[in-house]
Amino acid sequence: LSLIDDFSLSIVTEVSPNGGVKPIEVMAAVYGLTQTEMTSLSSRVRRLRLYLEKQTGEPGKLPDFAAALVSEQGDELRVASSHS
Amino acid sequence: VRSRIAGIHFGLERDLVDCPTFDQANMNYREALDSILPLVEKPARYVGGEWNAVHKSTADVSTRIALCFPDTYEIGMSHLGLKILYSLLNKREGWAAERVYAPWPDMEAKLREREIPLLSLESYTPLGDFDVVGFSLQYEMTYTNVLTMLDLAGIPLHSSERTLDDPLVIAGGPTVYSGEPVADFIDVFVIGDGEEAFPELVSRYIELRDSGFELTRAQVLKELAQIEGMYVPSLYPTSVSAHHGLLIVDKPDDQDVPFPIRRRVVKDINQFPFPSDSPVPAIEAVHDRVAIEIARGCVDGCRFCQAGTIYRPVRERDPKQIVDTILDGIEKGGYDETSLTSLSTADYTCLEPLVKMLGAELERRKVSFSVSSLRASGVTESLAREIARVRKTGFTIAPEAGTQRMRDVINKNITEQDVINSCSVAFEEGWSAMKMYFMIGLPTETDEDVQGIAELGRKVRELGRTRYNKNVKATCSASYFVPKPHTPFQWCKQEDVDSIKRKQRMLKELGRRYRIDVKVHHAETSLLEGIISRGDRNLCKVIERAWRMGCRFDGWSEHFDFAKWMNAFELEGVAIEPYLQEFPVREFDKPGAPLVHLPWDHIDTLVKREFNAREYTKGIKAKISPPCELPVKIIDGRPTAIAPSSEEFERVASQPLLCYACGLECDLTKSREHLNKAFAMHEEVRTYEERIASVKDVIEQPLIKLERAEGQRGGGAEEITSAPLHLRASAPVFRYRATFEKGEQVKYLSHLDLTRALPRAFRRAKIKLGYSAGYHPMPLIQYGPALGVGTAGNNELIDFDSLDELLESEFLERMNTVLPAGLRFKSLLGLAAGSQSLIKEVNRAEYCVRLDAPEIETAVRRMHSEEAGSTAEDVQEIHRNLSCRANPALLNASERISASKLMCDAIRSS
Repeated sequence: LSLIDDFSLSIVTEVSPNGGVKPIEVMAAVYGLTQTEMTSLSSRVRRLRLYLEKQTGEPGKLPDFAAALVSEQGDELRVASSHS
Repeated sequence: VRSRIAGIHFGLERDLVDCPTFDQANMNYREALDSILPLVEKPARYVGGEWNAVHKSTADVSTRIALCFPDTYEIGMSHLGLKILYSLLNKREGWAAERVYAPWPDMEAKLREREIPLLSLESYTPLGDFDVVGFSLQYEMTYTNVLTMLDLAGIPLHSSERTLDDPLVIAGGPTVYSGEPVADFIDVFVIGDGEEAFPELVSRYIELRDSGFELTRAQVLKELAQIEGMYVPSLYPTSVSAHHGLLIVDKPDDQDVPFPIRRRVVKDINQFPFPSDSPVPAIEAVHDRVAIEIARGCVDGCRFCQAGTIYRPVRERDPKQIVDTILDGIEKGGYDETSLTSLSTADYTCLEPLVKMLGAELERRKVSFSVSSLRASGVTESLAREIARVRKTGFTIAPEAGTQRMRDVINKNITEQDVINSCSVAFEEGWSAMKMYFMIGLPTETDEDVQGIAELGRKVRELGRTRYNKNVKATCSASYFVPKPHTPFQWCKQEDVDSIKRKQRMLKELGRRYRIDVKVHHAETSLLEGIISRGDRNLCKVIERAWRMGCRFDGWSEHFDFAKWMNAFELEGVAIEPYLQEFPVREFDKPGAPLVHLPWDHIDTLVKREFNAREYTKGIKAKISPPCELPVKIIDGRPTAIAPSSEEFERVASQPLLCYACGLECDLTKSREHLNKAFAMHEEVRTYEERIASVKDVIEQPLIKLERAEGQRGGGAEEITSAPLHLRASAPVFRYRATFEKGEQVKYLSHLDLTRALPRAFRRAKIKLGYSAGYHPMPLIQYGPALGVGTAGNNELIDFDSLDELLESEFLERMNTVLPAGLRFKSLLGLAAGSQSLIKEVNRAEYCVRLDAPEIETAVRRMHSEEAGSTAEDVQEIHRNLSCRANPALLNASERISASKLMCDAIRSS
C-alpha cells in the first residue's frame, strides 16, 4: 500500500492462478466499508498494471517485458516487437 | 428541452440549469448513471457504446425516435425487427433512432430512488425528450414493462392525458394485431410491416406537429389515422358483444376514420436489404450472432400459428443479397456465428444452394452457422453436413404434436417418418442431442396424443442408441397451447390449468420411464398470456392495476406473480373466464351466417375471416391443407410440399402450385419466378463447387514453397493467408502478447463479455487467429487475470496465436480502428514458442483507488464519529481480517505496520 498523491492510494496484491485478494476487500478492511459501499467503490478502482516477475521462454529473443511493465515510465508502455 | 425535462417528475433540472448545451446535459446523466450502475446486476445493459451503434451529433438531429423494447437488453438486442428499423431510420438525414430497453427491477428501483429518468443508450437522452417513442410488442407478458418505461420517462401513461409536448407513443409488432389490452396507453398502433409505414408515420407526425396551424393533439391523431396501417384506438368506440360478452371495436361515426384497419405489407422486401451493421451486443444476447431474415411469411398454414397469418404472403430475399449481407455482417461485426431465420426455413426455395454456397465461405472464415425453424421434412443430408462444417449448434425440430391425428388437426405437415429421418441424418452427421418442441392442450387432444409426445421422444432416443450406438439425449419440450387471434384456432377454448397440469405430470412420468428429458412451461404464465392475447379494452385497467401492484417482467418466472394478477382482475371487477371460452363462430347456427365479431376483428390482416373459419372446421375434422405456393409432392401417400432439392428440381418444379384463396391474392407467377431463380442457383452452386475442387489443387502447391520461406514477408504471404484454413495444415503460427486499456466507457463489461468482444475485434481487424483443433474450434487467446465488473484497467494483458506475422505499429493501427470506445491496444510483443501461460506468469497486480470517493468520505466520517481506527487494537483487527486473504509474503508484519501508518495519514488527509 502506498499513497500516490494526496487523493490516490496504490494497492499491490498478489495474483495466483486461483485468484487473489481484491483491492476492494483491502479497502473494506481498512475503512470498514459496508457491502453497498464496497460495490459502489469498486467502480472507482483502476488496475494500473500487472507484474510478471518470472519471465520464461527465450531470454535472448525477448525484451524484459516484466521490467518494462514494472518500470516507472508511466502507463504508455511500448514494447518493440521481436519481428520488427 | 430544459422546460420539458423540468416538467417531468424526476427532474434533474438543478443539474441542467447551468448547462450551456444539450451534450453537457447528457454528460450529467452519464454521471448520474455511474452513481447507480455499480449497484445493479449486469450494468453493461445500460451504458451502450457498442460497436456499430450510431451516434449522431446533436446539431445534425432534428427528429429523435426512441426504439423501445419492453424486455431486457439481451432479448431486445436479438430482435431482428428493431435491427431493421434502427438501420433504416438512422440512414435518414436529420433523424436519430436510439435504443431503450426495459430496466431490470433492481435498476428501476435505483432510477426511482435517485430520480434519474430512463435514458437512451446512444446519447443518454431521457426517453421523455424524444419526438416519437416506439415500442416493439412481441409478447403479451411484457405489457407491464411498457408502463414502467413510460412512467420512468415521465410520459403520462394514458394516451388521453398526453399533450403535443409529450412524445407520440406508438407500437408495432405481432401483438398489436390484438392490442386492445394496451389501447389506452398507445397513441398509434402500426399494423403490418414497418419499413415503409414507420418512416411515413414519423414524417407525417413531425410535419403536422410543426406545421404552424396549431392543430390539437386529437386533430393530429385523426390525420395520422388516414395513413394505411395506422390504428388510433382513441378514435374508435367499443361496445359489448351479445355473443361472447367482451368489448368489440365499432366503426366510428366519423366517415374519415378508416374501418377496418388494413395491414401494411411491403411487397418486395429486397427493396429493404437486411442490415449488416447492427450494433454488436456488449453483453451476450440470447441470439448473439449475425442472424438474417431470409424470407417473411410462411407457406405452411399451421392452424395455431399467428405469424403464419399476419406475415402472409411469403416474400423471399434474394439469395445473393443474403450471402452478401452475411459476409458483410461478419466483417463489420466480427461474429463467428450466423443463422438463417424465417418462419419455416426449409420452405425457402433456394435453401439448399444457399447453404452450400455459404458453407464453403463460412468454413474459410471459421464461422459456424445454424438454420432456425427447420421443418422436420426439410432436414436433408447435405443441409446437415453444411451446418456441421465448422461447429455444431443444437439440433432442434418442432413436430408440435405427438400423433399423426393431432398433427393433422393443427395442419403440421410432417409425419413421424419425417422426424425419424431428420434425426437419422443428424445422428449420421455427429449430433447426439435432439430437442423437440410440442404443445399440449390443443383442440380435440386426448391422453393418447399426449402419450404420443413421449413415445416419439422414446423412438428418437432408441434410434440413436441402437442404430448409431450413441449416448443420445432426447428432450421433449411441451408448451401450453394458447389460442391466438387471427388464426383458425382463435375460436377455441383454452384448456384449464388443472387439466394441463395433469397432462404435464403424465408426460413427466412417461419421460422418466423412457429416459427422455421432459420440459414443460409454467402453466399459469401461459394462462395469463391466453387471457391477454384474446383480451379486450377492459384489460387496460387490469394491466395498469397489476403494474401498480408491482408486476414486472411477467414472462420471467422469477418475477411472475400469478396471485397478484388474479388480485388485480378481482379488484377491477373483471372475470377471466370469458377470455378463455370457446367463441361462437357464427351469429346464428346456420351455414353462411355472419361471423361473430371478435375484439380484434377491426384489424384486417388481409387474410379472410371466412378462410380462418374454413380452416377451423377442417382442423376439427383432422383434414390437412398442404402448404401453398410450392409444388405438391406425394410422400408416403400424403400430399406435402417443400422447396425441391437439386436432384428433383426439374421433375417437380413444373407441377401446379397450390393456392387456397385466403384473401392475399398472391401472384403465383412470382412464386414460379422464385422457383426458377432457385433452379438457376442450384446450377450456379454446382459450377462453383467444381471450380473450388479445381482451385484446391492449385492452392496446395504454393503452400509447400511458402513453408520454406517462414519468417519472410512478401507476395507469397498474401497467398498463404488467402488460402482456406483447412488447406493450411502446416501454416506457421505466431504467438504474441499484447497490452490493452479497458477504459471508463467499457468498465462495466465483465471478463466474459471481454472474451467475446476481443475475438470479434480481431475478426474485424482481419487478423487471423489460430484456432484449437477438434469438433468445436475456438480462437487461441489467453487472458490475464479477470478484472471485476466496474473496474477499469490501464495495462491488461492477452496472449494470442495468429497466422499473421504482425508488426506492432500495424497491429495497433488495425485493432484500434475496430474497437469500441474505451478499449485500446497499447503494445505488442512476439513470444517464443512454448512460452508459459499468461495466467501462470502474472503474479502481482497494482491498483489505484481514489481516496476522495464519496464511499470513503462516508466511511471516514463514520470512523471518526466512532473513533474507530485510532487504537492499535483496531488496526490489528483490520490486519487480522486482511491476512485471511492477503499473501503474507506480500503483506508481512512490517508492511502492515507501514500500511497502517499510511492509512492513518490517508484518513487524516481525507
